[in-house]
Amino acid sequence: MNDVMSLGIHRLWKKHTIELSGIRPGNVVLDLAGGTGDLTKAFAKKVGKTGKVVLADINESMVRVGRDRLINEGIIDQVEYIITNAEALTFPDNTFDLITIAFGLRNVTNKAQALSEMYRVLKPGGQLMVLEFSKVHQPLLAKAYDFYSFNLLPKMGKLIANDEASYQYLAESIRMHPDQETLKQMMLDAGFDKAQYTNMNEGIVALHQGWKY
Amino acid sequence: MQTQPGLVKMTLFQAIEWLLNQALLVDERLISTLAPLDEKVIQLTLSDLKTTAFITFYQQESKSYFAVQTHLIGRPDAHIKTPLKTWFNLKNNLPLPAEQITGNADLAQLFLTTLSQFQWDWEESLSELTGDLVAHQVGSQLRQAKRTGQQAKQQIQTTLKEYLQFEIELLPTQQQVKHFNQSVEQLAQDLETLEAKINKLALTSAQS
Repeated sequence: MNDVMSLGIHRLWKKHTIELSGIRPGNVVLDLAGGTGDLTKAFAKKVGKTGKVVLADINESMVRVGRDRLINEGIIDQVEYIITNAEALTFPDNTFDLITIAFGLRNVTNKAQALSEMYRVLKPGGQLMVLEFSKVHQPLLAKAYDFYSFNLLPKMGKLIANDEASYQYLAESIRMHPDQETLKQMMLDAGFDKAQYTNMNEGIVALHQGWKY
Repeated sequence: MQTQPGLVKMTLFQAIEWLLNQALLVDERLISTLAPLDEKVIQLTLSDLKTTAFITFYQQESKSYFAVQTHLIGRPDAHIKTPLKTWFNLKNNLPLPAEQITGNADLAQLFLTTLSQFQWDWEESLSELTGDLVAHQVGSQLRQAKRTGQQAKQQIQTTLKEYLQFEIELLPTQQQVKHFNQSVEQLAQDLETLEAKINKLALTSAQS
């Protein structure tokens, strides 16, 4: 369904995120709201024998699906699985070189709390990457995007996944999510020493990066 | 500020990664040769293309592979800077040259030496996709095109040289340059002889 909705572009958004991460052997990575493990799979190949990836999600069934998929692909030793709430992470301070959360922050109730927790468990020198739907500022594209989100997307959800309501919620949650500058400021308020964002596809998706020094 | 890697760059690096991994599939002895490079990062800067890749080799029980990426946390273990074009004119089995190596020089040299030993049979890899007949025909056409290109390049060079030298006389021929040099040398000798005579005359008139 993600491929249909985004015409496959969501894979490119994730690929850009993986490229910008700069992950190397020995790094410890937290893939929050990791779901089916797309990013975890890519990071597991890069952290090597001496590194580790933790796939974490609040939803147990998502973790199970991700785990089964990765095991089937032979990715076993480098990955750990945990069920945890982003607003109350169960890790010690200064644990991770990299934290990623792809299309998950939108669904977190208390985003400020979650960002503070991510800051806490990040090592000094570490990086947070938030990949999420954001605001389209180009007026013409914004209108087309609104039409697509509120009119076509729920219909596609009903046709393909037999679930119109979830895709209606998707469109609404995107509109409720903070825009690029607001999220950047929230990261700085959470303690991050530096924060920036990169728009993809004119702001349909934005990649926010925050660093802890 | 980090910049989003462009699509062309990402595709190029994916192609490089694929090529490196294909070489490992073809010649598994390379895996043991590359063992010292396990989980070490080599930064490769292609100075003529103004582009940088970070290459990591992973040696694992189940599968060994290369990963090529555009960004890196921290510093690489070795940094090789070289223009890519010098690698295309090399004879077989010579170690690949590098303009500059910093960091762990042994790792960098091992990487370059091993890379020069890659015997990648691209026709074999292509035949897995298209079948032997098509791969062989594509290979033949490309080799013929390469020969034709080299002949054309030589022809153009010869024609241009003759045009510049004989048609518009913009450049002298080798003979003309040689003759000119000889004339200059003769003139220099004549001047030295004249100087010696003048000095002798001056001495003689000073004495008288």
